[in-house]
Amino acid sequence: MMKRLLAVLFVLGMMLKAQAAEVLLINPNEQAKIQNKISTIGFNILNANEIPQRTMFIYDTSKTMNACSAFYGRRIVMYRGMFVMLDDDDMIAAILSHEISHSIDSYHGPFRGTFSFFAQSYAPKKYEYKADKRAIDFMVKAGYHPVASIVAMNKIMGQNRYDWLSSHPLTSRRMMEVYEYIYRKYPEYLVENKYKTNIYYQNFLITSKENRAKFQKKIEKNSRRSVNYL
Amino acid sequence: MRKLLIIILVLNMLLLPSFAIIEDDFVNATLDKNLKIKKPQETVISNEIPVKIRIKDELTTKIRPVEGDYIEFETVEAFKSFPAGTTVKGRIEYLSMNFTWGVPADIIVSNFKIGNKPLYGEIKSTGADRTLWLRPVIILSTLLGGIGVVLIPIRGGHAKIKTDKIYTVYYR
Repeated sequence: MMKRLLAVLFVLGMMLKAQAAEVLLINPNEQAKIQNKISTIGFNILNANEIPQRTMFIYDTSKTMNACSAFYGRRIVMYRGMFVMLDDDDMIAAILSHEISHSIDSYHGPFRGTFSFFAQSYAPKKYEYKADKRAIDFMVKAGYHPVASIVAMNKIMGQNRYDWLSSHPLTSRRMMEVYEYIYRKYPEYLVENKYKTNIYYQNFLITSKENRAKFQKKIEKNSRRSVNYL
Repeated sequence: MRKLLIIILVLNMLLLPSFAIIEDDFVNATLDKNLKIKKPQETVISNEIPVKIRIKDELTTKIRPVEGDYIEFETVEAFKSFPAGTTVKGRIEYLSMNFTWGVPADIIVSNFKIGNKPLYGEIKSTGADRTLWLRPVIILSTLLGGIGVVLIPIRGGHAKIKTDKIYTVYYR
């Protein structure tokens, strides 16, 4: 009995120690600065796009490499693990714009969007593609460079093996859909591309060679059919 | 000594790893190099005039439109110097087709123009979302009797913008 109690106490102690260590690493001033930055960029996007639905932005200091749009309370949370991966304001805007699109969708449907959570989790791929594309519109209107979205995706997201086995679309496909969207709607950002020599964008150009060739064929043929990117 | 230094320098340069910058040849070949980014200007929004419009021909995702297509609307009432029935053009900004498992189609039209003047606002339409009941039915009936899979091909509804519906956009 005593041994078990000691084991439980040991585990609890280790957990508390790990948490305390994480808390000690966080400088409150730094945290306030980051929170302010995220809120400013987020509200800038909301206002520039005149989005009539309410949402707000929270910086969470846990190491999770994610950002999400909380269904209850309609808050957009960016975790420290994600924040440290973002190199500039445009990349932060890319992530926040994507989450804003999810947040807008949470208002749709009966009972003030009460069931929209199910709609979004039953068809996640549709909503991910939608959020990726809407994010580009939001970014451009707010004065951010939309190519940052491709750069952020290539830096942050992994590549699953099969599209049909995963909840989210393959990252390579998402990046190509975004690239195609920018090419058609906002080509000036590909011409005046400040990320041209960025290592993550350069890597995208290397890894998307086959997909871009497919897209080139589509443009040459003036085809209206969607391309099945790899 | 000088020669030795030059040799070392040349050798160093040869041995240093070099990186090439990859150009996006497709963009270089197909897009106009003179395209310039227009940064959004700060504008003061006041005296917005609501403009009532309706679509000229019904738009549905059944006919497989694509993003970027221009759609024609007309004004319902006269405003400023524009009489009722003036053509307003809108662009399909986002479109997703309906899919199996009851996933509905989605369409968003915005970027409206009356003559050369922009109108602000967007029109959204989503088809019937059958995921909410279809997914639990498929999963439960598959677990219970194994017949649920036959329901998987059921698609969600098509998104429609009907001619009898009046939408409001804004003139600034």
